[in-house]
Amino acid sequence: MILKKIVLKNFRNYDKQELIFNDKFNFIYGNNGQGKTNILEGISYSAFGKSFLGSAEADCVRFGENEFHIESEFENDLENIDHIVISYSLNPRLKSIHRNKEKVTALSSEIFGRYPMVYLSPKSLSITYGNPSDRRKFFDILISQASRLYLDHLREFAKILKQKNALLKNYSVYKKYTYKELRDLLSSYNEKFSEVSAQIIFRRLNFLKEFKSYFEKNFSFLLLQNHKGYINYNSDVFGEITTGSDTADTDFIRNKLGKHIEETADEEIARAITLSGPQRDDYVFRLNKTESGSSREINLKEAFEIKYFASQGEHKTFVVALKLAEYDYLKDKKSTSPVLLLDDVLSELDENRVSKIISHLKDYGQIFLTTTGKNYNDNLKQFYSEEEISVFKIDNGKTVE
Amino acid sequence: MVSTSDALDSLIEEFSKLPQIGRKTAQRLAMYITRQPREEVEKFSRALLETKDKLKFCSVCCNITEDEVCRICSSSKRSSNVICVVEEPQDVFAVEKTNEFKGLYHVLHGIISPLDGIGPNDIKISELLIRLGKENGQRVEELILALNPTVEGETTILYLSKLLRPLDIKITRIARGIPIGSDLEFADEVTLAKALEGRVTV
Repeated sequence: MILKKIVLKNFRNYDKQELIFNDKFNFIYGNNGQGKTNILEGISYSAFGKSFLGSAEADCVRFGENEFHIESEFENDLENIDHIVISYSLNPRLKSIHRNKEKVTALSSEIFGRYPMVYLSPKSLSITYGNPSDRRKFFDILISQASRLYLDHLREFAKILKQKNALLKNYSVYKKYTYKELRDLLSSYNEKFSEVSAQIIFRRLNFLKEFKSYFEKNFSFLLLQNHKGYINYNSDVFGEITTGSDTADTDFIRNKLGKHIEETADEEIARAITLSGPQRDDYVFRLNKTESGSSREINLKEAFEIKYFASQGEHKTFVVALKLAEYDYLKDKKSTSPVLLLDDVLSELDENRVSKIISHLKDYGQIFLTTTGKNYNDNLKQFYSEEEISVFKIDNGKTVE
Repeated sequence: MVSTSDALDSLIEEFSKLPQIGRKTAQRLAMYITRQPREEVEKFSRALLETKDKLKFCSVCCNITEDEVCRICSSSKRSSNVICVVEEPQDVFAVEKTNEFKGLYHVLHGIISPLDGIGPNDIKISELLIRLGKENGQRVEELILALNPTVEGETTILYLSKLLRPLDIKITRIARGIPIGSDLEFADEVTLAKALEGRVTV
């Protein structure tokens, strides 16, 4: 997948800016606060219909203006061009997406996942440092790009969860139902809840099983030592599940989760909130440093948990490996090279790791790299010819070169 | 904006309260009314009031009707041993258009949705229970739950099936799957997955 060009109108600090991109390497540099990341954010709008930074649309409208427009052109491997226009207006609050001049009504089926993209920035470190929600978000976006069914299940799940929590609240706060009515309704919601939850957990486990080899390959590529990284799934119903162990089928998950929810119903009613389910599950990253342990199956306890015990460098290695594995996985699933966005990674992420990526740049498709210094450009020249690099200098919402 | 007529303003205001009608459409409709002869406008306003005054719920199926018992419920050609449960009166129109269903209906007038504050007591479920419990007339053998395949519809189906299980009536739900005349490749994944789940032997 190649992003041919983008036009930003009243987006962030851009007034009106057209950028024609190189099919290979796009080097974007400039001082802090000039709008380098804003370009990448605009690109993420084109691919996902929303910002990968999670910013609200309203915050993306240029100060003093009422609406922003982003026009972009993607070219697939068959050289077909897709024309995407995203518009958002503050008053009235309205967001619209057009693909090839036709209005997009179902974001999930028409846009999301069609233009695979991987974004690496210092903020990506929240995947290992941050909360379980950061990890779920990372994997949810990744799995959704590869499987629309997963995305649809997530949406359905979000609705059920909202309804169930409203039900519990209506009872405990507003006393809307009798206790018997509540129990009858709750068991109906729980049945549906377990059904959809099982689909989600099952798909997450299956994904991890598949993702494992992608991750291990990239992890050992980044590391010199014979260390091994693991990604496990943790839920309060099933405990920590080692990736690759035989995955239970959906019926098993559904029954076990359903039983657990029935048993904890009193506590849920008392606390007026849903206590277990995929919305609370977590991914556990572990690192095994015992050299001898490389071949035999390790005991979970021998591998320490990244979140609590890893050094900064180990965190970074883990995250970069995850992101590169995401790239390889999407590339296989989508049969096209994703667009790779590297945002300010040279200064923040260990330069050794980044230069390892840089030395393998030829393995990747189209790349966007932002940085504050121009110097790095010279390093790139050993990998790319003159025509394969486009350089953009950003100064206060404008390209100046 | 300077307005030249308060009456016109309030008419536009009323039109724009209607579903699917925005400000501009409301203006167009209001201007159309101003150009109509008086008789036409009278007919229109009378129709509005009559709908409001005359319509009530059928005492049997809760569909909207002008009579005590609606035309479907009082028809001798309909079999009363099958009842099709729907969310809204317009769903009755939809099923009637097929000309395939000869039983009776029950209109819930809504769907259970805690988020919107709608519980079992806010829709016509107790009416359904009373109706099924009545000893007079023919016994109901089957209850078809024809609710929308949304989260709310699904959970209402689960709730109703639990509630009605002790009554020993056959409870069914309408099938979900691929629209007739369309291609498999155009079906979304969830629909296709449900269609696979509900496959039948040929």
